[in-house]
Amino acid sequence: MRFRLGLLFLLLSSSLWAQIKVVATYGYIEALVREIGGERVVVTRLANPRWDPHFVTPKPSYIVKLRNADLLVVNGGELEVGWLPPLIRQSNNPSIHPGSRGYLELARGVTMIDKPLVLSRAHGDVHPDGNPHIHLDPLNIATMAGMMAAKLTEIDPAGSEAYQKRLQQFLARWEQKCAQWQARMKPFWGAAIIEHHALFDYFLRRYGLLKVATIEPLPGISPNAKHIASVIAEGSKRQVKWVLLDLYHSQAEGKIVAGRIGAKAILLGHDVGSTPEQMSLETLFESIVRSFEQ
Amino acid sequence: MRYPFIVSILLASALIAQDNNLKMPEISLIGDLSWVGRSIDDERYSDLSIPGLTHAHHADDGHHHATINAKRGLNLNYAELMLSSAVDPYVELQAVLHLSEEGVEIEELVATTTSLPWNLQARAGKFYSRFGRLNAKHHHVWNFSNQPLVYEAFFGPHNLLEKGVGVEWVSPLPFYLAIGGELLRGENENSFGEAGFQPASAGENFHQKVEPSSQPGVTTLYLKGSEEFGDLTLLAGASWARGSARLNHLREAKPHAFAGTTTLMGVDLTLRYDFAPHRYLQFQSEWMTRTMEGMKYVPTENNNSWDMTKTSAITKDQAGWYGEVIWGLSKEWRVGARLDGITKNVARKPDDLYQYNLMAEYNPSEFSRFRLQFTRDEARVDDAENRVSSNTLILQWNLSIGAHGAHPF
Repeated sequence: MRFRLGLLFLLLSSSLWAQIKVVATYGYIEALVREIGGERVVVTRLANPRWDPHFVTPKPSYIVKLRNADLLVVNGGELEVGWLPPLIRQSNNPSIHPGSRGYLELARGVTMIDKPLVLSRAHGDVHPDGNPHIHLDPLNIATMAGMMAAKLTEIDPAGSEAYQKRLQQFLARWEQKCAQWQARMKPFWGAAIIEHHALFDYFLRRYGLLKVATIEPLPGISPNAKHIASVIAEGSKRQVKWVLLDLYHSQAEGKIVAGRIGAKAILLGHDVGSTPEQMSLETLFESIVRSFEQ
Repeated sequence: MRYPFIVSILLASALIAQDNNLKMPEISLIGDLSWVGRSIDDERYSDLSIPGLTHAHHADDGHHHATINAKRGLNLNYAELMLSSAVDPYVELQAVLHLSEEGVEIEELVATTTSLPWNLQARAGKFYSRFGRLNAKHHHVWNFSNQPLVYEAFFGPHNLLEKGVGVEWVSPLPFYLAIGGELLRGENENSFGEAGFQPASAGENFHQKVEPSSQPGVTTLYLKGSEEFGDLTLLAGASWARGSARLNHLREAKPHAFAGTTTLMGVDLTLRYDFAPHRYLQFQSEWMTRTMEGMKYVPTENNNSWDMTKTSAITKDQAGWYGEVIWGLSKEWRVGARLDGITKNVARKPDDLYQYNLMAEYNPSEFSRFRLQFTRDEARVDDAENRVSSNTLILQWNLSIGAHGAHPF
């Protein structure tokens, strides 16, 4: 019996070893890896998709995940700068160090928006390369899927055909979805909105929504009464229709602002897994689009 | 004074370094200021010691212990300049320069390997030992402005900071388990010390000359394990250190010296539960013991005569612990409490030494922290061995500029 169990264990573990072990920092990256990698990869995610992507508790269990990884896929654009570097260092796994073959930074492949002209923390917790929440433009997702397929092929050349096939299938599906979202968001082109943190800017820009203010006075700085007053003034003047709230900032200020200017406050999940309705890449955007339609 | 010149060059380079590039390492500067109110005056406070464990920092000793929060009123505690960069594909170098009004110290200069096989990592230089939980953490990431009593007692104001080499291995088990060891010089003045001494005048009692400790003086071994249960994270560790001790207090008011072997053991436990973003409850505790075995040297006649020296074999067993609870309320606010105790001491010295700490923190941004801390200290005695309690209120302001720091769990 013990022998058979041992054999079973060996078989199981050898089949596991054959798969590419991928670590993804965020939920949407995990979903992308699954889309392209399929059966050839096992993927684990680090950050809790309901929580703040800038501040992730660097749990020692993450070191174990990184230690055993063949590939680490990160968002980049300094979104992980406050929590990931010591974990990579502590994992003692040279193959996933930044710049190594087993390290993929998705922000490198897309054009980042709102790159600060003046780099100073007097303007809050700014990211030198621009707004790092790149995945909320569905067209960027397509670009990143291509990067993922290329990287997986590099790590696992034997899977080249499989990755290409899965990429083509995904892109075909994604193209349809993007066309639908484009059509459904069209009525809102040019509408003014307010958001709490500069989190949904890529989505807003894609669909022509105009951000007139943020509840945060500066990135990473909590709101104060004086700033809220100016947001309310700006919001009424610009006839703001929606105040976008997210899961990891306080919602009270945004609701007050929405109430005062007669706008609708909508709570949006920002990542795959943020809310029960957003468990895949499609539903992440589907849920956001629907929030505007309702 | 050549220090201001060095400092100005370093600061200038820090200001020039705006971007990551090959010409410049990552640079950051951390400043620490505090306003201190204390129920006893500065001179009396500096004359206090933890009985059986530390010596008073009498101003006339010539000791320059640049301790933080030492004076009532405004203190400029330090500026810490950190530089780090990859040297080549194999090694990265980190330097921490501790700048104070007295001068510049190389607090750390450590080369760490980045590409060893089998998940091994080695380092060499001057660094904080990974013994214990808090030891390797810099002051600016501590949860309180002061050290736990047991750290102050066993290691002094700078924790176990040594020159040496270390190696660490992360096991392939499905949970976090790291095992490491270090070989250190053992210069720590509280538990080790390396210089030899001669308690009696040469000639008459020549055999009493104590040789310096052989190198490396101290060996440490540690093990850290962690597991996660949903949003609850557990981290536990066990540490051991052993090395030769040469404690020379022959020039002090009550001259004595010790030569022998010190063994330290510690266990630590951290539990953190994350409720929501920035909202968590963390419990952290460490317990440490120290055993010193060897010869004690005390002059017999009077303090000025070194002709006769009494030696005796002694064993000192001491232990202490701390336990703290930190409650993260929001991105800006944290509150916490810590209880420190020395619970085992040498004969005829008290073993009920306690210190109570409460703190509230406000972080206006990620790079600036105000902390208000109240400390009730019942662990110290004056020269006449009378217990002197004190209350201290500290308003600390810690600021950081430059490269974005990230800290381990």
